[in-house]
Amino acid sequence: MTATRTIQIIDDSKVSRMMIKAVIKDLKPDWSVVESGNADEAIKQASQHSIDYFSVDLNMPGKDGLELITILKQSLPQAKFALLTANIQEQTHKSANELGAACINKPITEDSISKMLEYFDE
Amino acid sequence: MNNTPSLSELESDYLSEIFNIGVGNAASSLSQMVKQEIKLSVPELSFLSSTDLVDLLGCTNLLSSVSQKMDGPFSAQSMLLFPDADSLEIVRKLLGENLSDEGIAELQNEAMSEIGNIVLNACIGSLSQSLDLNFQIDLPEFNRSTPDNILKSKHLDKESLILFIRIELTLSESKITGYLAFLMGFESFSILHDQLKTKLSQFS
Repeated sequence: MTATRTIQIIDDSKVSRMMIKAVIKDLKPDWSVVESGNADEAIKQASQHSIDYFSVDLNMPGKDGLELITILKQSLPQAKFALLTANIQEQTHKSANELGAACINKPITEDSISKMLEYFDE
Repeated sequence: MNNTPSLSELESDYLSEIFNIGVGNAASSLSQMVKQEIKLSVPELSFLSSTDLVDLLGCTNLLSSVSQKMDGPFSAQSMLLFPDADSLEIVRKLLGENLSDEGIAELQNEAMSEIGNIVLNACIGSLSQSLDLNFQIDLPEFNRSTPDNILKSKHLDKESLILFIRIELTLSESKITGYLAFLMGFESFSILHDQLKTKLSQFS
């Protein structure tokens, strides 16, 4: 698929956003990337861009990733969401699955981000 | 002389993320042990002197600590610290609510050593994986004392730095605050700092 897509990366860690973006730019050079450092900023930016995919960190100050996905899903039911976390607890996976989001395990590597992109391409 | 190390915003962010991953992995293992979900706060990272640390933790407060020495490209004394009452609460969750207070106190040493081993190894593992460094990790040592005595037992010299990380864990309805501390000399800190810079230059 060569269509241009827009992905929003939401992570409170700037380094994590840089790492995720570097892999996306490498594997999907045509995609546009929107970055947000917290949930509130993400909600605002999501309303200003046409976002296809969301890469969402779980553990953030303020609203966490699961809360954010719940909110974004209401206005963007067609979008696909991936929850990135080092917290691979069963309950976390269950909550993500209930929201229809894929769980991607941190650390951020080319492999983990490739997995996320494969899920978005499905 | 001001020995406070200066990490750039990006370096500090990266180091926090490394510990976020370590603690997240540890929480997954602990959650299986206590058979319930553990919620974590975002780790808060700072550099302190031993005097600052004693002030922050309260010089007369009783703490439970588990420490493990790590040796490799740099060395540090890694420590997991909990207020003693919180530590007993974790042990109770781990071993079951049916045990008597005496039973819990008796098993505190062993249970906390196991928890410390999981948390510290996960954090050192994340550090090692992210920065491409290998460390040897000694066995866990449990200590129950005031912050001052705990630090004295580690024979810190005046130049030592403490990389201090505060995390809140929520287990069922119990909110527990734990601390991670990495006690290291200035030379060790410089090696860690250089490696952070090297890794960051690869993706910036």
